[in-house]
Amino acid sequence: MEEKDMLWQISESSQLVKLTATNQYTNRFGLTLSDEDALMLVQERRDILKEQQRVEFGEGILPKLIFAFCDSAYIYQENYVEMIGRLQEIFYLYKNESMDEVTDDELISYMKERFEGECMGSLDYLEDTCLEEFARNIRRKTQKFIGRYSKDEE
Amino acid sequence: MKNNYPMEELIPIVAELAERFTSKESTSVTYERAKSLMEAVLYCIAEAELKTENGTAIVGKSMTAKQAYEAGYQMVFDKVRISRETYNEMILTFSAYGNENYRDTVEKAIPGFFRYYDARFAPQETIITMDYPTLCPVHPLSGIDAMSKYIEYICLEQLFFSRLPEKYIYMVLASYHDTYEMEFFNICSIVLRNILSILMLQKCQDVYGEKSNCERLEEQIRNASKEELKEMLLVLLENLVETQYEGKKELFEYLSGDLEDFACELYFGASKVSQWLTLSRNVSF
Repeated sequence: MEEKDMLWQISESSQLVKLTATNQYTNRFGLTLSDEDALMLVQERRDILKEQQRVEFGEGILPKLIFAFCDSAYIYQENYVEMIGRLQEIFYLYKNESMDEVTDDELISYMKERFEGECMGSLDYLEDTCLEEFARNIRRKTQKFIGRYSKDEE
Repeated sequence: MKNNYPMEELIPIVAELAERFTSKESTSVTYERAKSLMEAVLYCIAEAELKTENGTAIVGKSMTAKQAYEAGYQMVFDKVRISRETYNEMILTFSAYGNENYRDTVEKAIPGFFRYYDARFAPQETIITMDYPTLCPVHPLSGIDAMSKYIEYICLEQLFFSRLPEKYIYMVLASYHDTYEMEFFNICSIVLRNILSILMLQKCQDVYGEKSNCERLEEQIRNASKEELKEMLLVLLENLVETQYEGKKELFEYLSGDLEDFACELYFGASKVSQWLTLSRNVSF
Protein backbone atom coordinates (compact mmCIF):
# COMPACT_ATOMS: atom_id res chain seq x y z
CA MET A 1 0.00 0.00 0.00
CA GLU A 2 1.30 3.44 -0.88
CA GLU A 3 2.39 5.82 1.83
CA LYS A 4 -0.19 8.42 0.74
CA ASP A 5 -3.04 5.89 0.91
CA MET A 6 -2.00 5.03 4.42
CA LEU A 7 -2.01 8.66 5.39
CA TRP A 8 -5.49 9.21 3.97
CA GLN A 9 -6.88 6.25 5.82
CA ILE A 10 -5.74 7.46 9.18
CA SER A 11 -8.63 8.15 11.49
CA GLU A 12 -11.19 7.86 8.65
CA SER A 13 -13.03 5.08 10.44
CA SER A 14 -13.85 7.33 13.38
CA GLN A 15 -15.03 10.13 11.08
CA LEU A 16 -18.49 8.67 10.50
CA VAL A 17 -19.15 8.32 14.21
CA LYS A 18 -18.07 11.89 14.87
CA LEU A 19 -20.15 13.26 12.02
CA THR A 20 -23.36 11.58 13.08
CA ALA A 21 -22.64 12.68 16.65
CA THR A 22 -22.96 16.31 15.50
CA ASN A 23 -26.70 15.65 15.02
CA GLN A 24 -27.16 16.03 18.75
CA TYR A 25 -26.25 19.69 18.40
CA THR A 26 -27.61 20.45 14.91
CA ASN A 27 -31.04 18.98 15.64
CA ARG A 28 -32.02 22.20 17.33
CA PHE A 29 -31.55 23.97 13.97
CA GLY A 30 -33.54 21.31 12.17
CA LEU A 31 -30.49 19.75 10.58
CA THR A 32 -29.68 16.06 10.62
CA LEU A 33 -27.12 13.88 8.86
CA SER A 34 -28.09 10.33 8.02
CA ASP A 35 -25.48 7.59 7.97
CA GLU A 36 -25.51 7.74 4.17
CA ASP A 37 -24.99 11.50 4.22
CA ALA A 38 -22.09 11.14 6.64
CA LEU A 39 -20.54 8.44 4.49
CA MET A 40 -20.90 10.60 1.40
CA LEU A 41 -19.25 13.56 3.13
CA VAL A 42 -16.36 11.42 4.32
CA GLN A 43 -15.89 10.06 0.81
CA GLU A 44 -16.01 13.57 -0.60
CA ARG A 45 -13.45 14.63 1.99
CA ARG A 46 -11.11 11.95 0.80
CA ASP A 47 -11.51 13.03 -2.83
CA ILE A 48 -11.07 16.70 -2.01
CA LEU A 49 -7.97 16.06 0.07
CA LYS A 50 -6.56 14.08 -2.82
CA GLU A 51 -7.44 16.80 -5.28
CA GLN A 52 -5.98 19.54 -3.09
CA GLN A 53 -2.98 17.37 -2.23
CA ARG A 54 -3.44 17.59 1.51
CA VAL A 55 -3.20 15.10 4.35
CA GLU A 56 -5.51 15.34 7.33
CA PHE A 57 -4.85 13.92 10.75
CA GLY A 58 -7.18 13.71 13.69
CA GLU A 59 -10.90 14.30 13.57
CA GLY A 60 -10.89 16.42 10.44
CA ILE A 61 -12.52 19.70 9.55
CA LEU A 62 -16.11 18.55 8.91
CA PRO A 63 -17.35 18.71 12.53
CA LYS A 64 -15.90 22.23 12.84
CA LEU A 65 -17.62 23.34 9.64
CA ILE A 66 -20.90 21.83 10.80
CA PHE A 67 -20.78 23.53 14.18
CA ALA A 68 -19.83 26.87 12.60
CA PHE A 69 -22.47 26.88 9.84
CA CYS A 70 -25.41 24.96 11.31
CA ASP A 71 -27.04 28.11 12.67
CA SER A 72 -26.97 29.86 9.30
CA ALA A 73 -30.25 31.11 7.93
CA TYR A 74 -29.15 29.98 4.47
CA ILE A 75 -28.72 26.34 5.43
CA TYR A 76 -31.69 24.06 5.88
CA GLN A 77 -32.22 20.32 5.85
CA GLU A 78 -32.78 20.15 2.06
CA ASN A 79 -29.44 21.74 1.18
CA TYR A 80 -27.52 20.79 4.33
CA VAL A 81 -25.36 17.97 2.97
CA GLU A 82 -24.69 19.74 -0.30
CA MET A 83 -23.71 22.95 1.49
CA ILE A 84 -21.38 21.22 3.96
CA GLY A 85 -19.82 19.28 1.10
CA ARG A 86 -19.17 22.49 -0.87
CA LEU A 87 -17.93 24.28 2.22
CA GLN A 88 -15.31 21.65 2.93
CA GLU A 89 -14.23 21.79 -0.71
CA ILE A 90 -13.87 25.57 -0.51
CA PHE A 91 -12.13 25.29 2.85
CA TYR A 92 -9.35 23.00 1.62
CA LEU A 93 -8.95 24.98 -1.58
CA TYR A 94 -8.37 28.17 0.36
CA LYS A 95 -6.11 26.51 2.91
CA ASN A 96 -3.83 25.94 -0.02
CA GLU A 97 -4.48 29.30 -1.64
CA SER A 98 -3.62 31.07 1.60
CA MET A 99 -0.44 29.00 1.82
CA ASP A 100 -1.45 27.65 5.22
CA GLU A 101 -0.84 31.09 6.67
CA VAL A 102 -4.24 31.15 8.37
CA THR A 103 -5.45 28.72 10.99
CA ASP A 104 -8.52 26.53 10.50
CA ASP A 105 -10.53 28.63 12.92
CA GLU A 106 -9.54 31.90 11.27
CA LEU A 107 -10.51 30.65 7.84
CA ILE A 108 -13.81 29.18 9.02
CA SER A 109 -14.62 32.32 10.94
CA TYR A 110 -13.92 34.47 7.86
CA MET A 111 -15.97 32.14 5.65
CA LYS A 112 -18.91 32.25 8.03
CA GLU A 113 -18.81 36.02 8.36
CA ARG A 114 -18.81 36.56 4.58
CA PHE A 115 -21.31 33.79 3.94
CA GLU A 116 -23.80 35.44 6.27
CA GLY A 117 -22.94 38.94 5.10
CA GLU A 118 -22.20 40.04 1.58
CA CYS A 119 -22.53 36.54 0.09
CA MET A 120 -26.06 36.14 1.44
CA GLY A 121 -25.68 32.38 1.37
CA SER A 122 -24.06 32.18 -2.08
CA LEU A 123 -21.17 29.72 -2.05
CA ASP A 124 -20.11 30.76 -5.55
CA TYR A 125 -19.71 34.35 -4.44
CA LEU A 126 -17.88 33.22 -1.32
CA GLU A 127 -15.49 31.07 -3.30
CA ASP A 128 -14.87 33.19 -6.36
CA THR A 129 -14.96 36.68 -4.92
CA CYS A 130 -14.59 36.97 -1.16
CA LEU A 131 -12.09 34.22 -0.50
CA GLU A 132 -10.18 34.96 -3.68
CA GLU A 133 -9.51 38.47 -2.42
CA PHE A 134 -8.82 37.19 1.09
CA ALA A 135 -6.20 34.72 -0.18
CA ARG A 136 -4.64 37.32 -2.43
CA ASN A 137 -4.25 39.69 0.50
CA ILE A 138 -2.64 36.97 2.59
CA ARG A 139 -0.21 36.11 -0.15
CA ARG A 140 0.67 39.74 -0.62
CA LYS A 141 1.29 40.32 3.06
CA THR A 142 3.16 37.16 3.84
CA GLN A 143 6.93 37.54 3.81
CA LYS A 144 7.55 34.09 2.47
CA PHE A 145 7.94 35.21 -1.12
CA ILE A 146 9.63 38.50 -0.40
CA GLY A 147 12.60 37.07 1.47
CA ARG A 148 11.86 36.52 5.12
CA TYR A 149 15.41 35.40 5.65
CA SER A 150 17.16 37.97 3.51
CA LYS A 151 15.31 40.69 5.39
CA ASP A 152 16.68 39.36 8.69
CA GLU A 153 20.20 39.44 7.39
CA GLU A 154 20.17 43.08 6.36
CA MET B 1 16.19 5.88 4.15
CA LYS B 2 15.44 2.41 5.36
CA ASN B 3 14.27 1.34 8.74
CA ASN B 4 12.70 -1.67 10.32
CA TYR B 5 9.48 -0.04 11.44
CA PRO B 6 6.15 -0.57 9.70
CA MET B 7 4.18 2.37 8.35
CA GLU B 8 1.49 1.89 11.01
CA GLU B 9 4.05 2.81 13.66
CA LEU B 10 5.46 5.75 11.74
CA ILE B 11 2.22 7.51 10.78
CA PRO B 12 1.15 8.35 14.35
CA ILE B 13 4.56 9.96 14.90
CA VAL B 14 4.10 12.03 11.74
CA ALA B 15 0.57 12.93 12.86
CA GLU B 16 1.90 14.08 16.22
CA LEU B 17 4.65 16.05 14.55
CA ALA B 18 2.14 17.66 12.18
CA GLU B 19 0.06 18.65 15.18
CA ARG B 20 3.09 20.28 16.77
CA PHE B 21 4.01 21.92 13.50
CA THR B 22 0.61 23.55 13.13
CA SER B 23 0.33 24.22 16.89
CA LYS B 24 -2.96 22.30 16.72
CA GLU B 25 -4.37 25.13 14.65
CA SER B 26 -4.74 23.16 11.46
CA THR B 27 -6.11 19.65 11.00
CA SER B 28 -4.46 19.20 7.63
CA VAL B 29 -1.13 19.78 5.98
CA THR B 30 0.02 19.70 2.38
CA TYR B 31 1.54 16.59 0.83
CA GLU B 32 4.88 18.36 0.73
CA ARG B 33 4.74 19.14 4.42
CA ALA B 34 3.59 15.61 5.33
CA LYS B 35 6.39 14.19 3.21
CA SER B 36 8.89 16.50 4.85
CA LEU B 37 7.68 15.51 8.33
CA MET B 38 7.89 11.83 7.42
CA GLU B 39 11.47 12.43 6.25
CA ALA B 40 12.17 14.16 9.56
CA VAL B 41 10.94 11.10 11.45
CA LEU B 42 12.93 8.71 9.27
CA TYR B 43 16.05 10.88 9.60
CA CYS B 44 15.91 10.79 13.39
CA ILE B 45 15.26 7.05 13.45
CA ALA B 46 18.18 6.51 11.06
CA GLU B 47 20.32 8.67 13.35
CA ALA B 48 19.45 6.45 16.30
CA GLU B 49 20.13 3.34 14.25
CA LEU B 50 23.52 4.64 13.17
CA LYS B 51 24.63 5.60 16.61
CA THR B 52 26.30 2.80 18.44
CA GLU B 53 27.20 2.44 22.03
CA ASN B 54 30.01 0.05 22.90
CA GLY B 55 29.66 -1.43 19.45
CA THR B 56 25.99 -2.27 19.94
CA ALA B 57 23.25 -0.46 18.10
CA ILE B 58 21.05 1.51 20.46
CA VAL B 59 17.98 0.79 18.42
CA GLY B 60 16.94 -2.77 18.66
CA LYS B 61 13.74 -4.65 18.27
CA SER B 62 12.90 -3.84 21.85
CA MET B 63 12.48 -0.16 20.92
CA THR B 64 9.29 1.19 19.43
CA ALA B 65 9.41 3.57 16.49
CA LYS B 66 8.41 6.39 18.82
CA GLN B 67 11.25 5.62 21.22
CA ALA B 68 13.72 5.34 18.35
CA TYR B 69 12.50 8.66 16.97
CA GLU B 70 12.89 10.43 20.31
CA ALA B 71 16.35 8.91 20.86
CA GLY B 72 17.36 9.94 17.34
CA TYR B 73 16.02 13.45 17.81
CA GLN B 74 18.09 13.83 20.98
CA MET B 75 21.15 12.68 19.06
CA VAL B 76 20.49 15.20 16.30
CA PHE B 77 20.09 17.88 18.93
CA ASP B 78 23.37 16.91 20.61
CA LYS B 79 25.14 16.77 17.27
CA VAL B 80 24.05 20.33 16.50
CA ARG B 81 25.44 21.50 19.83
CA ILE B 82 28.76 19.70 19.36
CA SER B 83 29.12 20.95 15.76
CA ARG B 84 28.42 24.50 16.86
CA GLU B 85 31.05 24.26 19.57
CA THR B 86 33.58 22.84 17.11
CA TYR B 87 32.80 25.61 14.66
CA ASN B 88 33.08 28.34 17.29
CA GLU B 89 36.48 27.05 18.30
CA MET B 90 37.72 26.73 14.72
CA ILE B 91 36.52 30.15 13.54
CA LEU B 92 38.77 31.95 16.04
CA THR B 93 41.85 31.05 14.03
CA PHE B 94 40.24 30.47 10.64
CA SER B 95 41.95 31.87 7.58
CA ALA B 96 40.63 31.64 4.03
CA TYR B 97 44.00 32.76 2.61
CA GLY B 98 42.26 35.31 0.45
CA ASN B 99 39.80 32.96 -1.21
CA GLU B 100 36.41 34.64 -1.09
CA ASN B 101 34.36 31.51 -1.64
CA TYR B 102 36.13 29.78 1.22
CA ARG B 103 35.64 32.79 3.48
CA ASP B 104 31.99 33.32 2.58
CA THR B 105 31.11 29.67 3.00
CA VAL B 106 32.77 29.31 6.37
CA GLU B 107 32.16 32.75 7.85
CA LYS B 108 28.69 33.45 6.50
CA ALA B 109 26.97 30.31 5.25
CA ILE B 110 27.75 27.99 8.16
CA PRO B 111 26.42 30.41 10.81
CA GLY B 112 23.35 30.73 8.58
CA PHE B 113 22.90 26.99 8.79
CA PHE B 114 22.93 27.05 12.58
CA ARG B 115 20.57 29.97 12.56
CA TYR B 116 17.89 28.28 10.50
CA TYR B 117 18.42 24.59 11.15
CA ASP B 118 15.28 23.00 12.50
CA ALA B 119 16.10 19.77 14.33
CA ARG B 120 12.47 19.04 15.15
CA PHE B 121 10.61 19.61 11.89
CA ALA B 122 13.29 19.44 9.22
CA PRO B 123 16.47 17.77 10.51
CA GLN B 124 17.08 16.34 7.03
CA GLU B 125 17.47 19.79 5.44
CA THR B 126 21.05 20.86 4.76
CA ILE B 127 19.84 24.41 4.03
CA ILE B 128 23.11 25.74 2.63
CA THR B 129 24.88 24.56 -0.50
CA MET B 130 28.39 24.47 0.98
CA ASP B 131 29.90 26.09 -2.09
CA TYR B 132 33.49 25.63 -1.02
CA PRO B 133 34.34 22.12 -2.24
CA THR B 134 36.05 19.81 0.21
CA LEU B 135 38.41 17.05 -0.85
CA CYS B 136 35.99 14.39 0.34
CA PRO B 137 32.37 14.96 -0.66
CA VAL B 138 29.67 15.31 1.97
CA HIS B 139 26.73 15.08 -0.43
CA PRO B 140 25.60 11.54 0.44
CA LEU B 141 24.81 13.00 3.86
CA SER B 142 22.20 15.59 4.71
CA GLY B 143 21.15 17.81 7.57
CA ILE B 144 23.41 18.04 10.58
CA ASP B 145 25.26 14.88 9.49
CA ALA B 146 26.47 16.72 6.40
CA MET B 147 27.23 19.89 8.30
CA SER B 148 29.17 18.22 11.11
CA LYS B 149 31.23 16.33 8.52
CA TYR B 150 31.79 19.54 6.54
CA ILE B 151 32.97 21.40 9.64
CA GLU B 152 35.25 18.49 10.47
CA TYR B 153 36.78 18.73 6.99
CA ILE B 154 37.25 22.49 7.28
CA CYS B 155 38.96 21.97 10.66
CA LEU B 156 41.30 19.41 9.10
CA GLU B 157 42.16 21.81 6.29
CA GLN B 158 42.92 24.53 8.82
CA LEU B 159 45.12 22.11 10.72
CA PHE B 160 46.93 21.29 7.49
CA PHE B 161 47.53 24.97 6.74
CA SER B 162 48.48 25.81 10.31
CA ARG B 163 51.85 24.03 10.05
CA LEU B 164 52.81 25.82 6.85
CA PRO B 165 54.20 29.34 6.48
CA GLU B 166 51.43 31.73 5.57
CA LYS B 167 53.59 33.43 2.94
CA TYR B 168 54.20 30.10 1.24
CA ILE B 169 50.48 29.34 1.05
CA TYR B 170 49.68 32.73 -0.45
CA MET B 171 52.49 32.41 -2.93
CA VAL B 172 51.51 28.93 -4.10
CA LEU B 173 47.90 29.95 -4.54
CA ALA B 174 48.76 33.15 -6.38
CA SER B 175 51.14 31.24 -8.66
CA TYR B 176 48.48 28.64 -9.38
CA HIS B 177 45.87 31.13 -10.50
CA ASP B 178 46.02 34.90 -10.94
CA THR B 179 42.54 35.30 -9.52
CA TYR B 180 42.56 32.43 -7.05
CA GLU B 181 40.71 34.72 -4.64
CA MET B 182 37.61 34.55 -6.82
CA GLU B 183 37.78 30.90 -7.84
CA PHE B 184 35.64 28.05 -6.60
CA PHE B 185 38.26 25.36 -6.08
CA ASN B 186 39.70 23.69 -3.04
CA ILE B 187 42.81 25.62 -2.03
CA CYS B 188 44.07 22.84 0.21
CA SER B 189 44.42 20.59 -2.82
CA ILE B 190 46.67 23.12 -4.59
CA VAL B 191 49.05 23.39 -1.64
CA LEU B 192 49.01 19.65 -1.02
CA ARG B 193 49.86 18.87 -4.63
CA ASN B 194 52.75 21.31 -4.53
CA ILE B 195 54.10 19.67 -1.39
CA LEU B 196 53.67 16.18 -2.77
CA SER B 197 55.45 17.21 -5.97
CA ILE B 198 58.36 18.55 -3.95
CA LEU B 199 58.46 15.33 -1.94
CA MET B 200 58.35 13.26 -5.14
CA LEU B 201 61.31 15.17 -6.51
CA GLN B 202 63.20 14.81 -3.24
CA LYS B 203 62.56 11.09 -3.27
CA CYS B 204 63.74 10.87 -6.86
CA GLN B 205 66.90 12.70 -5.93
CA ASP B 206 67.44 10.37 -3.00
CA VAL B 207 67.28 7.39 -5.33
CA TYR B 208 69.07 8.71 -8.38
CA GLY B 209 71.37 11.25 -6.78
CA GLU B 210 71.30 14.99 -6.32
CA LYS B 211 71.65 15.67 -10.03
CA SER B 212 68.40 13.97 -10.79
CA ASN B 213 66.01 16.51 -12.27
CA CYS B 214 62.39 17.04 -12.95
CA GLU B 215 62.52 15.40 -16.38
CA ARG B 216 63.69 12.21 -14.81
CA LEU B 217 60.84 12.27 -12.34
CA GLU B 218 58.33 12.87 -15.10
CA GLU B 219 59.72 9.98 -17.04
CA GLN B 220 59.25 7.82 -13.97
CA ILE B 221 55.66 8.98 -13.74
CA ARG B 222 55.03 8.24 -17.41
CA ASN B 223 56.23 4.69 -16.89
CA ALA B 224 54.12 4.09 -13.80
CA SER B 225 50.56 2.80 -13.72
CA LYS B 226 47.76 4.79 -12.17
CA GLU B 227 47.67 2.49 -9.15
CA GLU B 228 51.42 2.78 -8.68
CA LEU B 229 51.19 6.54 -8.79
CA LYS B 230 48.42 6.57 -6.24
CA GLU B 231 50.35 4.22 -4.01
CA MET B 232 53.44 6.41 -4.26
CA LEU B 233 51.42 9.51 -3.37
CA LEU B 234 49.81 7.70 -0.46
CA VAL B 235 53.18 6.74 0.98
CA LEU B 236 54.43 10.30 0.66
CA LEU B 237 51.30 11.67 2.26
CA GLU B 238 51.45 9.14 5.07
CA ASN B 239 55.03 10.15 5.73
CA LEU B 240 54.13 13.83 5.65
CA VAL B 241 51.27 13.41 8.11
CA GLU B 242 53.37 11.17 10.32
CA THR B 243 56.24 13.62 10.57
CA GLN B 244 54.44 16.97 10.51
CA TYR B 245 51.00 16.24 11.95
CA GLU B 246 51.71 13.63 14.61
CA GLY B 247 50.26 10.94 12.37
CA LYS B 248 46.74 12.31 12.67
CA LYS B 249 44.68 9.62 11.02
CA GLU B 250 41.69 11.82 10.18
CA LEU B 251 43.92 14.29 8.36
CA PHE B 252 45.56 11.53 6.36
CA GLU B 253 42.18 10.11 5.38
CA TYR B 254 40.87 13.52 4.40
CA LEU B 255 43.89 14.56 2.34
CA SER B 256 44.07 11.18 0.66
CA GLY B 257 40.65 12.05 -0.82
CA ASP B 258 42.55 14.17 -3.37
CA LEU B 259 45.08 11.54 -4.37
CA GLU B 260 42.87 9.58 -6.74
CA ASP B 261 42.29 12.68 -8.87
CA PHE B 262 45.90 13.78 -8.63
CA ALA B 263 47.18 10.34 -9.66
CA CYS B 264 44.73 10.31 -12.58
CA GLU B 265 45.81 13.75 -13.73
CA LEU B 266 49.46 12.76 -13.61
CA TYR B 267 48.78 9.45 -15.34
CA PHE B 268 46.82 10.96 -18.20
CA GLY B 269 49.17 13.92 -18.44
CA ALA B 270 46.47 16.43 -17.57
CA SER B 271 48.93 17.98 -15.17
CA LYS B 272 52.66 17.63 -14.75
CA VAL B 273 54.82 17.56 -11.68
CA SER B 274 56.91 20.39 -13.11
CA GLN B 275 53.81 22.61 -13.17
CA TRP B 276 53.12 21.92 -9.53
CA LEU B 277 56.76 22.45 -8.61
CA THR B 278 56.89 25.86 -10.23
CA LEU B 279 54.17 27.11 -7.91
CA SER B 280 56.66 27.47 -5.06
CA ARG B 281 59.80 28.38 -6.96
CA ASN B 282 59.72 31.96 -5.74
CA VAL B 283 59.17 31.04 -2.14
CA SER B 284 62.00 31.53 0.27
CA PHE B 285 61.54 30.54 3.90
